[in-house]
Amino acid sequence: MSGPEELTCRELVDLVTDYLDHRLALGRHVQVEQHLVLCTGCQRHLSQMHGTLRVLRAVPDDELQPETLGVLMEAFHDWRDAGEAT
Amino acid sequence: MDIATPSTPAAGRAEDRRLVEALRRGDEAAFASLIRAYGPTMLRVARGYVATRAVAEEVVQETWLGVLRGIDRFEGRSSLKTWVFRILVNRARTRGASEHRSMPFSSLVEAADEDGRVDPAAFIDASAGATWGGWWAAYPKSWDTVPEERLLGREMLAVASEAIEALPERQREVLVLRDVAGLSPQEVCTALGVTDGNQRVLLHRARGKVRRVLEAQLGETEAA
Repeated sequence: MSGPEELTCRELVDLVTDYLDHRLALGRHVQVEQHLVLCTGCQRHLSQMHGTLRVLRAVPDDELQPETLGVLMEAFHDWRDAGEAT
Repeated sequence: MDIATPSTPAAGRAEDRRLVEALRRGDEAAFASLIRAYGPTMLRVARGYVATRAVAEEVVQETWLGVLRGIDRFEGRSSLKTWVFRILVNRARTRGASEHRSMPFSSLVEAADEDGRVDPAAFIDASAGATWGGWWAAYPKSWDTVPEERLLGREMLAVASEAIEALPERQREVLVLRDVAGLSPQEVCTALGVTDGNQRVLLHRARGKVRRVLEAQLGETEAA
């Protein structure tokens, strides 16, 4: 089942980012999809990449300090009153 | 006024035009909503370049002042968000360079090096002439079955934060803008001034490293 024209798992994991971004050439993309259908290991690797992306998106951002917001709004008023706003 | 994520590029450009005109008119609510929408992510990006949170806040503050000074020159060739982040990255780089920042690394993160690639030992050695050379020696674990409250739990998020901080600067900036801030590949290239090819390689390495750190953490938790 593993011919020379087929991707190995080791090759596939190096293509995963481009695959998820739809940046592979069509033939390559199809090869990856065909491999994924048959390969439990690579399906699991892909589940780890999806999981990694979910974790990254969930990383909480810090809120700006209220003082920073205050300084910025004040700067905005100064900027507007100086007639820079049109 | 809320900053919605535009559903199409055309909708995004229209939304940008609306916001830019509001700013030029001196619409305070538009400015406040932009700060609320981008401020927290900007703070995270800035944190990657400078030593303290306080300095990062200053960088964010300087960026918005730069936005106000430059808003009349904004021509909409990139999205407003990309333009804001480009200013931010330039300020943060300058501040970071003047600080000569050195990062502390945790041992957990150091272990996941080698360009973030999957451990070669995970695959059957092809050089031995094995029929299955290059295939998984043992299947990795599926994360689809990891309960949501564990995968996205406080412990994993803390480890992910640490892993992000420990990335080399160029990998970190691409990963944060793409995967945390949600910019498109094109937006990241414009904001950072890197080529598309570079962006792809840096992102792949950075994601790989974070994945390995998370994998180690999940394994540890399971064994405990």
